[in-house]
Amino acid sequence: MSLFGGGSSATQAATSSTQGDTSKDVEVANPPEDSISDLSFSSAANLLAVSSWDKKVRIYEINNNGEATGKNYFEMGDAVLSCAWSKDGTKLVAAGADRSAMMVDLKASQGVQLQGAKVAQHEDTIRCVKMWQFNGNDMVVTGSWDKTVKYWDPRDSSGTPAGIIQCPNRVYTMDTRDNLLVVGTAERQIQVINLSKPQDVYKTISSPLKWQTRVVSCFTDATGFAVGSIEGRCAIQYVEDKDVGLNFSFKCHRQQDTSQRDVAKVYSVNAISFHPVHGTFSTAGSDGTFHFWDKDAKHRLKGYPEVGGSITATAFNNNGQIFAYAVSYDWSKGYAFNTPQYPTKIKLHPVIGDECKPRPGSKKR
Amino acid sequence: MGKKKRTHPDLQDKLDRPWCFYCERDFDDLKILISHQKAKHFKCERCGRRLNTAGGLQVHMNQVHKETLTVVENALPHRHGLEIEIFGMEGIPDEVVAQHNQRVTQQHFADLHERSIATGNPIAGYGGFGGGAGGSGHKKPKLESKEDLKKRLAEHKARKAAEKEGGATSSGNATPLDGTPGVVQSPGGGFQSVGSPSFGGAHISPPPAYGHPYGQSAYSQAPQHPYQPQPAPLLHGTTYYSPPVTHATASPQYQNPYQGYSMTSPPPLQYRGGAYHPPPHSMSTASSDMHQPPNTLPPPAGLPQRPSFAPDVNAEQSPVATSIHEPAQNEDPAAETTPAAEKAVPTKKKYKKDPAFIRLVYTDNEMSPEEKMAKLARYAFVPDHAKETVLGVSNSAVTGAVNSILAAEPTADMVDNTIDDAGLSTSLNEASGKTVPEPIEEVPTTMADEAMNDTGTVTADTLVDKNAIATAEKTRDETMEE
Repeated sequence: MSLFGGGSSATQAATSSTQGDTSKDVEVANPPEDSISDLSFSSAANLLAVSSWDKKVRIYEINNNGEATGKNYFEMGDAVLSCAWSKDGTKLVAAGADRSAMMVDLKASQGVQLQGAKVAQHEDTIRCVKMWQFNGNDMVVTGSWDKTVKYWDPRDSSGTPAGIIQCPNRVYTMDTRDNLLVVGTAERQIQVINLSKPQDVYKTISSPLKWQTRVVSCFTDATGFAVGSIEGRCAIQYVEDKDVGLNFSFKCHRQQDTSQRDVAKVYSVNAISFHPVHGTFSTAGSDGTFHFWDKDAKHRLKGYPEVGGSITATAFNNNGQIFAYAVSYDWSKGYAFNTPQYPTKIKLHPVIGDECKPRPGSKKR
Repeated sequence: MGKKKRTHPDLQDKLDRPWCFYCERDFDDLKILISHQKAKHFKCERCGRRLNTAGGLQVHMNQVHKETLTVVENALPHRHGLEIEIFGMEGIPDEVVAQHNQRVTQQHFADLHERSIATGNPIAGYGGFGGGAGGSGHKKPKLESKEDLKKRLAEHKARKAAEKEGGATSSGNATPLDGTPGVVQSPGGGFQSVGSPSFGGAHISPPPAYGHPYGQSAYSQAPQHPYQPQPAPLLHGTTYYSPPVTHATASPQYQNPYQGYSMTSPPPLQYRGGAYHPPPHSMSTASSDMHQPPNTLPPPAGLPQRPSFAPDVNAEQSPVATSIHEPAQNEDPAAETTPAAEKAVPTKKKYKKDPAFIRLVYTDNEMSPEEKMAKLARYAFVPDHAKETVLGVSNSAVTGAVNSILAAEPTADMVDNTIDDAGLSTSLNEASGKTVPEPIEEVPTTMADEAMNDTGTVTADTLVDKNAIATAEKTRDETMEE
């Protein structure tokens, strides 16, 4: 299948170098009007949900040529900071600064304006929302700056959470895969929760990185997670103690100052996404670059040139053939750099050839 | 040689390091430089083949891929030309070498300065130079004149010792009269023995008894023997002390070997940077020759270092020290006692790995950028309660104003940061260093986005040369797979 119509022979040569090519990336038409906070691909189809600070959640459908068309959208009370699909890819949940989470059912509201149902409520901005399945039922989990993580059953409209977990600090990031839920909070705390026992915190650790946690992302096989910090560093952390020997961290998203040789500019790691098939992963940062890595070989598979602005969110589609990244201002340089000229766009990068494949023969070190 | 490596390379070491013409990086070893060049600059991007020179790559590209190579990859803008044939350190034009040396020299002194600032605080109590930038002015000269420091220390010790001895100063021949082996050590220490004036003098008055006294003082004395033949270059112009016991106790039968020794191969005497390095080999030969007859002694291999360090004088003075000269003991802190200025600075490895300055683009460790954004007026959330509407609006306006001030902070922080850079980089070093006990293992280089191929270089820091080369080769294999 040649998604995006890319011929495989022509691209083969380009993929032999470590520097990747973004010239074939397709830009999504009608992007959000403000910074993009999250991207999420449906597991059922090539539907990309995009949440934005402009209070809207947009859903784009991507065809085989990589062209995205706006399919639907819904609006929330305030900036939307996170969105997530249910496991079967039919429901979409989004949450944000209006302290609530809304869920839409795409099957039920085909072809009509989406009407969200409120499924969660917090005391402060909900930074992250994810969906998971408990005993075969879709459940919503929200993490908020009010220092709690709450579980919600969407069928329950009473407004009471199915469970609350007190977090050490404001929730900054969350990710889930299978039965693993990882919550990253301010002050570098990380909580690991086994979702088969959602009420218990399996483990609370401080981040292996010395600086503020920006993002956590679970491995494809759910045996661990990656942590990204504001100090251009990414850590690979396994959940079980027997695997601690495999933990490591590495530097990324740093630039040498053009004028001074010994000055390194260090950017924050904004997004980490694991490839659903190969188990490799991407990091993207405020420096506007993204890279593919192989954690087992401890190798960078591919680096890509700067895309014109900070990358705030990334996502692989369900079969790992599309890598979507959102370029928009992430506030990393403060107030002064938030100009109207700053690009706000979503790009779709076709994952061709071996870009995300772990290196053959590279043994585990 | 002294076991302890200096934590910071001196200027000459830095200038001697092989470096890459194309990217100005420097390397531990010429081999690593060459493999770096092959991997970074002379690698064919089409097929991954690594050529030896830019010219070779040009020909390869031309013949194999029918392409013309115009620039060397990954090179500095003004160095990417193909016209100069570079291989390792060969072929670099003289003026470029001069330029490089100048840059290294400048960098070296800048580093010294910066280090004195960075380390000024922790050792504020030392010698009274205050912490902070103010201290640096005092400290820099100290760092530079290690030799002087040591010389003065030695002078001082010698003077003190001489006083203790009752005025036996500045004369090599005055001291031989002095008594017991243990005491004799004290004035000279190992250090002064460098300047022991004459071997001939020793012959003149050889006391008959060798065995017993020698056995007692053997360790401390033994290393000195090989040096006595030295014609005493007036290195310091301070005290000359010919270890009397050595001569006094040397029985006639042992003098001959010495004499022969001194004539055939006087050990190369090195006096550099205050550390006096006795040649281990000649030393051990000499000492084993002499020691075996009288009684059994600990392995002579450990002997050489001990007397060599000026600051060890104290250790040498105590009789205890003379009796426990085992290799392990030689490693003890006393042996490593170097002027505090040198000691307090961070290790070279860290300093090498991380750039001197690290500037975080987003500096607020306490608050996420999203939180700052969310506090902006235009994102301020107004709870949807009819009653509170008015309140809410005014609220948000206030928050907005406050937050635009807050929002301006990061930029201010960044300015602060440039000033604080030294401190920051230190803390970052700590963060990435191994001193912090944590399960995670840092692998900055293997995955560092700048160069996968440079694994060898950094690993080389911790491994023996051979291993480093092996690693380099391994890396080469991996790059081939690309």
